[in-house]
Amino acid sequence: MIMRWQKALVRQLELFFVSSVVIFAVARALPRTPMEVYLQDRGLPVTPESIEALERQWGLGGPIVVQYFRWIGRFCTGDWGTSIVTGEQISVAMAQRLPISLAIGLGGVALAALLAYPLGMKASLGSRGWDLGARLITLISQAVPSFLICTLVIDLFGVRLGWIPFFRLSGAALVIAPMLIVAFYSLGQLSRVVTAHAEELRTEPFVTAAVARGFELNDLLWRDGRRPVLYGLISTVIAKMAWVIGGTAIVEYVFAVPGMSYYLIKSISSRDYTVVQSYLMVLVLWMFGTRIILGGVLSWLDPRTR
Amino acid sequence: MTIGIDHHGPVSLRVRGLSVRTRGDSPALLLDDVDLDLAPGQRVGIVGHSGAGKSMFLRALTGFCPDSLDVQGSVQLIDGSGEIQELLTADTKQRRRLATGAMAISWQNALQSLNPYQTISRQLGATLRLHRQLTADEVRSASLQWLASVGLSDGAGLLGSYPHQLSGGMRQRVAIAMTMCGGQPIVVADEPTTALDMVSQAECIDLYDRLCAAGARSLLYVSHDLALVGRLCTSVMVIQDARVVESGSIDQVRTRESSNPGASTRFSGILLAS
Amino acid sequence: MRIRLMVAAGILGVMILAFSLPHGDPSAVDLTAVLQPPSQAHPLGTDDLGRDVWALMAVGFWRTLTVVVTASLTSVLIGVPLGLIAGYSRGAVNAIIMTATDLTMIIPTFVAALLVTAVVGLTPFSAGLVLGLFGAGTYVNQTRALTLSIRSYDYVRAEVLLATPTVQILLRHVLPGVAGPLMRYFGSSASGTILAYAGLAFIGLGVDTTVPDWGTMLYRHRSQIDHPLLLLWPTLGIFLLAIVFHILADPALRKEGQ
Repeated sequence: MIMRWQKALVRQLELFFVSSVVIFAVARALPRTPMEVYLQDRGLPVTPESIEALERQWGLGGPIVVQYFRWIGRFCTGDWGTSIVTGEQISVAMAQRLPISLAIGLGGVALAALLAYPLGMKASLGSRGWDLGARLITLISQAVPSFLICTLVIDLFGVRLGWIPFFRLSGAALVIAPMLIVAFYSLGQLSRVVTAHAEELRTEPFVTAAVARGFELNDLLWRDGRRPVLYGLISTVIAKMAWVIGGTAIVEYVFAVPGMSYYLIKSISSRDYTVVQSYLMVLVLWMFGTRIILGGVLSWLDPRTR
Repeated sequence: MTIGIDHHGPVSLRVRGLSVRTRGDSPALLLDDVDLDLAPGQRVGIVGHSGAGKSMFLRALTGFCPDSLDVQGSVQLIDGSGEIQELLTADTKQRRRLATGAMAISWQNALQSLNPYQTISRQLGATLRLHRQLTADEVRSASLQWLASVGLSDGAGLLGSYPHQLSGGMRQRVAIAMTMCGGQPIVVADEPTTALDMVSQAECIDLYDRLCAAGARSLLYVSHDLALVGRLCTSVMVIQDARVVESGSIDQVRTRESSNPGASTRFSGILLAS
Repeated sequence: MRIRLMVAAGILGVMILAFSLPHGDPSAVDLTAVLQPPSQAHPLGTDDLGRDVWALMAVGFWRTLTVVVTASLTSVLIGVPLGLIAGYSRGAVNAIIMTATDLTMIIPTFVAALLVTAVVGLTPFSAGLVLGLFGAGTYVNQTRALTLSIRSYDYVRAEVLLATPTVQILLRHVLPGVAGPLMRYFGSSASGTILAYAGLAFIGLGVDTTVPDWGTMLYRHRSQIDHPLLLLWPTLGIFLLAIVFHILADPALRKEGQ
């Protein structure tokens, strides 16, 4: 078990550094360099001399390999640079926005997983109604864009009924509606995963053997089917983790919630590439962390891998 | 679990006209009009080629046929006081409950019949508690007894283990213990030795022999191998093409076959022990 | 199941036929005929700039369809060969492909698409290529896993012993086995692509505003409470097209957990 953990850690570290190289390379390959953006935004002349001056000022000059190591070194010590547009420390800005995005994304997926287990089990073991309900939810989440539902929610509850002043909320209240919508959009798929695993369980030899000994199938699946089904569910949740920060971009955008992805969208449109670079690195770190943690949970669930 | 008849004492089985058909416009006959009498303590082997209908017979008998099939006939459990319980008039759920209360059933893949996610003690304990009210201590001592009865000496160590930590042979024995520990008076086994090598087969047969004798339990043993059946059972029923083509004591069947090889029984592939 | 396929094919067929009919110029702005109700000249009315809604719907349809086709082709043409290679070779080649795949799975497809289309411009092709590239990861993984397992089958081992050229083994034995499961995945990823494209158009980075997409239309009219039809048509378009692909994928969804 220890060996496996170490292997996973090393692999994730490898990925982290490879990703950083790719992200660095992509950022350098973009058409307008940060220096040009900076100069153009301030109406200053874009000449090779001014660019070089800025480079030196920002410590960006030198051979590309040196630049990379300088950048990754700074990144690892917490210096993520400053935003070209606002001038604020990017690490600070991200730190402020990360909790909000996590609350929406992680909270939404966690809520969905919690609800998906009973829903999926009921869809497999209970009456047809549950199954149809789960399929309907899945259908809507696959055919109706999330921004539309966000718009409708704002329209209905914010404007027409006037119950919730969406754009004047602050603090924790901000994340509730987005989180619920994210949860809804994950619920369908996750519940189908649960249902699929429960169905598979029915024909597993150890289940049919237990039924032959006198156990009731439904009770058996609810009680003893937990681990294998949870295994499948958590595997899917791990796969969804990549989606947690980025996929919530639309929801943050429509509700104008100051999360990381909203920040990203604004930064892309203002060509603030240092922010984009840091955002991508945060994503990589995020995946790194979740894979290690959730991977550990997975191996705890299946005694065979211990 | 009181379910009509008393299955703590001897129970006999009476099957009349058991048939299985597929539903629909042109029903196919999967089992045709099978009769069987199983007295307490009696052992009957059921032999035939693969696909002849042996497993279908067991499933129809125990109530484990899928709903897509139509089961007709009569399956009766009769207890010591003469109380009769007809299985086929009950609905599926009830039927299974009655069947599993009186019969210890083992389907084919014994090696995979253990729950990989639970310790042996948990699975064995749950099965024991399914049929009797027991305290935690009683469960533990009963578990150890059963493990010992299938030839596993380090019971205490085994109880805390997971199936994947045991060897194939140990798992086989634990599986048999799990099947038998309910104490049901009738044991129904569907080809328990198929996946095993010759040595393990012999051990498996030996276990069934001892355990059934110890509890005076009757046995329905399905196999495609008449030699194996011969070591364990006194009577045999031959099923071919969904029908019973031969039944009687082992000796009778052997005599008939050797005096008229292939003629009356038409099962050329089944070797008789000499 | 047949019924489902027929329904899906039917809806798709109707949409293709309908939007192939001649329609007006979608970019023709006519400020004298703003927000008109349906009429003979404008079957679905006009929008807030006097453009013919039906023409806009048609353009949106073809663009969205282009995105789906481009993305799917890209995913398959990149993912499957890479998966085959990764499943068949060992060592460095395998490691490189798996790392590259992992990278695309770490960066959310939508974010990558946002970034790329903001820089190079949002067209059905650019969106399709990015979405396809970043969606190829699953194809690589699944193909690789299937290749590995098929490789261990006896009849394939026999071919190797007989020194059959690798390419032939891959094409004749591995590919057919891989095709089935991937077809099913294709359906569910296609509807995701449709929604992603609408989302990209909605956010509107790098968008060409002269002829709005369905997503852009939804953005423009998101507060048109008094003219809900303007929201309805693009919604219906997205919904129907996504359902077509969802139907094609769903029967398999029961079995496909991950």
